[in-house]
Amino acid sequence: MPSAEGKDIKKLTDEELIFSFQEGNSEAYSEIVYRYKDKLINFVYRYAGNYDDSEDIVQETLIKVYTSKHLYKEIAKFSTWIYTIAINLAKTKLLKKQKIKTFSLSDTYDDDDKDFDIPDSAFTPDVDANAKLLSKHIQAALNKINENYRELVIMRDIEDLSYEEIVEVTGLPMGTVKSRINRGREKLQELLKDIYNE
Amino acid sequence: MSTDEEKYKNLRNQLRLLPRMRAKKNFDSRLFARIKELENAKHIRPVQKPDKENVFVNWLANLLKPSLVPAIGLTVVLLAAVVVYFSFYNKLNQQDVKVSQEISYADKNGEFVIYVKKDGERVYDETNREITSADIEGSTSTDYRAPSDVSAETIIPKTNPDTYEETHDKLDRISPEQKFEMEKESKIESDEIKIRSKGDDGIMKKGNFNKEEKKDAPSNYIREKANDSGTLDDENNINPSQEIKQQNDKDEEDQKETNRLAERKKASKKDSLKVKDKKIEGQDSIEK
Repeated sequence: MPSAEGKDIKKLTDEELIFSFQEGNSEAYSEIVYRYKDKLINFVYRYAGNYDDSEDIVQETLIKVYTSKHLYKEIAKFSTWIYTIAINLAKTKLLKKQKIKTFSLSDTYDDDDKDFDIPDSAFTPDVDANAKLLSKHIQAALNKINENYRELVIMRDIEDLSYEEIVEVTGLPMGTVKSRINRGREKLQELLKDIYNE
Repeated sequence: MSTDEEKYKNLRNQLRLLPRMRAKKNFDSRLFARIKELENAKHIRPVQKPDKENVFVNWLANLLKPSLVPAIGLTVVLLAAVVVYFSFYNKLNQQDVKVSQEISYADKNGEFVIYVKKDGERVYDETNREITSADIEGSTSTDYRAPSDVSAETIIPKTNPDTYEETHDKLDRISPEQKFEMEKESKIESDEIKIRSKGDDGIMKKGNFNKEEKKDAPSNYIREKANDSGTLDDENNINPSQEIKQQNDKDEEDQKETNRLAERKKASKKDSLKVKDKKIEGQDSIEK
């Protein structure tokens, strides 16, 4: 898929893609959606704990990118900008949801009908069942810890963002980010004691 | 990798091994459908770069925030007060200054007249003479403290009868020599009166003084006396013809004295003329 400049659009960086989209190239936007939809759904799902909500949030995030494309400046990385939009929308959605109804644990274990990207390619029914159980257990533990810790732990340990990127996304000082990540991990380890003991 | 991350290595591995969530197959189609829907509904408006007009509109919108309304209201009231003061009250003060057109004068009856002259107006007094500020001595049209031309009333200071003599002596400008002479004269007069009242033999007699006085008294005095008491005593009854004679005698004596004085003056004049003639003759002789 060659771009307007004759360059293969798949070889463009995220920043080049958004600038191309700012100039009116809708294919660049499609490429952005393709690159970020799964990443964002995984990130938001781990944060919100509900697949449908996370999908809605990601769609809203991508619509925001479409409508506010001119607001992006090459000050930060595009990934930082899009994660910031996503986490803000997720927080807003979560707050609204908390106001409407109390959080139900059954929502968090509703992973049966979702697609999973299991790292182990060798499919065995026992492993698949164990992985699903483990995933449910860890997600339940994640949902139990404080939102501020959860957000940072997901960014660092699941999405593998650097500390600098986390600082840019959250706007928090580096020291605060590191201490919150450690506290989150500590709490999560306490909740998952039984898994490690096994 | 830091020590903290090594400490939670197992946990981190567990988190990384979590199954990755994927978007549904119809995710893209649903997303673009929503975008199209929004575009058709014209909800999506491309965010324009802020130009100068938008900046001004945004500034105005920020200025008219509900939180700033009380402050803006107060400012408007203060501004209005300042404008009203400088436009209205200041003019009033200036009008006060314009009263410099005031002209004051006294008319023939001595009444004090204050007249406020309008711009370009001429003021005339009772004799159709134009009055200007220059007519008033020691005053100008703007001089409010200038003395008016009304004749000042004589103010008689209230004196205490107890202290009057003391203050009078202090204020007396008569020299001691003059005072001495005056006292001397008054003594002589009093001595003369005493001599008259005692009579020829030097003994004080009842009614002597009154008789003398009555003899010298003119007919008017007698009439007044008669009017005061209503009747005249038989003893004091004087014939009017005698009275007229006495008065005529006195008049003759006075005339004689005046004649004598006139003669003396003439003689002194003649002497002075003679002296002058002699002087002139002496000068002529010296010149010769």
